[in-house]
Amino acid sequence: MDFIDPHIHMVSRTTDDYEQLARMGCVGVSEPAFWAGFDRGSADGFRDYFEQLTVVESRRAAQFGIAHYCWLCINAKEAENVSLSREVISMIPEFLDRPGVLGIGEIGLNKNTRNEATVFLEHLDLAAKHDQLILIHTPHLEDKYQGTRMILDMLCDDSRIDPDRVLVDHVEEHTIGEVLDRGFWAGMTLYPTTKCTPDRAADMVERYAGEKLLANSAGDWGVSKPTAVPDFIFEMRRRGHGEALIQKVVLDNPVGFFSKSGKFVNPARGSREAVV
Amino acid sequence: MLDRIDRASETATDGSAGTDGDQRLRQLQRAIELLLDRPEAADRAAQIQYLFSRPYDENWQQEFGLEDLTGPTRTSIRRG
Repeated sequence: MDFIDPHIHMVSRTTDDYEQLARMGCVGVSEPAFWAGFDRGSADGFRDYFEQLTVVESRRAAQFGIAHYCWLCINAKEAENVSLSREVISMIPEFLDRPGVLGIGEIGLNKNTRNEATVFLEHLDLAAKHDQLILIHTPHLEDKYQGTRMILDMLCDDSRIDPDRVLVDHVEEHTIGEVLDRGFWAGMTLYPTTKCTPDRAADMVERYAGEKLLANSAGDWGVSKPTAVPDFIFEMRRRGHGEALIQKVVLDNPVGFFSKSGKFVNPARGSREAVV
Repeated sequence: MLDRIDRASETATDGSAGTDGDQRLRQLQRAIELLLDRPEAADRAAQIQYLFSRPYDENWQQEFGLEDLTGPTRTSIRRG
């Protein structure tokens, strides 16, 4: 089955991972800007990173027939440095017109602090002013519920933000309902240590159906599994779910959401409109 | 190991109330109760997650002093 991984950090992964993903049916990935594992020292460090995301990584992916899209921001883990965050935010518009850029992300909260919220609001303003899609990172473990509610407050308090143009990622059982109820798209992250497993994701699909639900690996430089979406596909099949429902979550919904950017071309076989 | 937990529940070395007064232990006990009391409930996982989550304060924006950042483009309607 063709699938899209809508949240994966391929700059941290090997070329073998691209090959493995392609062999397993991956036809597209979207890569949010992320923390590098250390705090970057200057805005120029982000400029180089955005160059890598928008130019270099799309070329790597294309070697394996995978369409590569990306999102730009300064991650919440680096938002405690508000002055650096503002420098980066002011630079982002230089990159927004590049062909593979879908929007602003992954923005959100990490430890739910005042500085993180301040930088999040300034990212929202940037997205609204440039009519960009938004990809949201929600915090983990004991911070997730509080942080998700805070994020939803900020999103819903801004009348310029259309929930149908926002994907809230890393939802779990106690946050998915409110995200969907408020009209946002929801991403389930399949991850070995935090977030959720393929089994739990299948449980959530059974409880909430597949509408506006996506599944991703969030594969990065840590312990993670870039082929976690195929694990979810197999778990859904093992439970007897039909191919149409599975395809909705792993392909149709990512295509539906990303297409709102105006730049996305469906990379699935049979519907390909452009060569990657 | 279990005998140590038993002893810890009686007296803590720093003079505190021991594990009987430990919020984490109460959370674990409450989680087990939730699982046993409602074995077929569809929202069991969510209830357990709520139990181990930091509380949400709907006045957080005032406490952070962030209301000033809610400019004219924002609504004042708080949902949920």
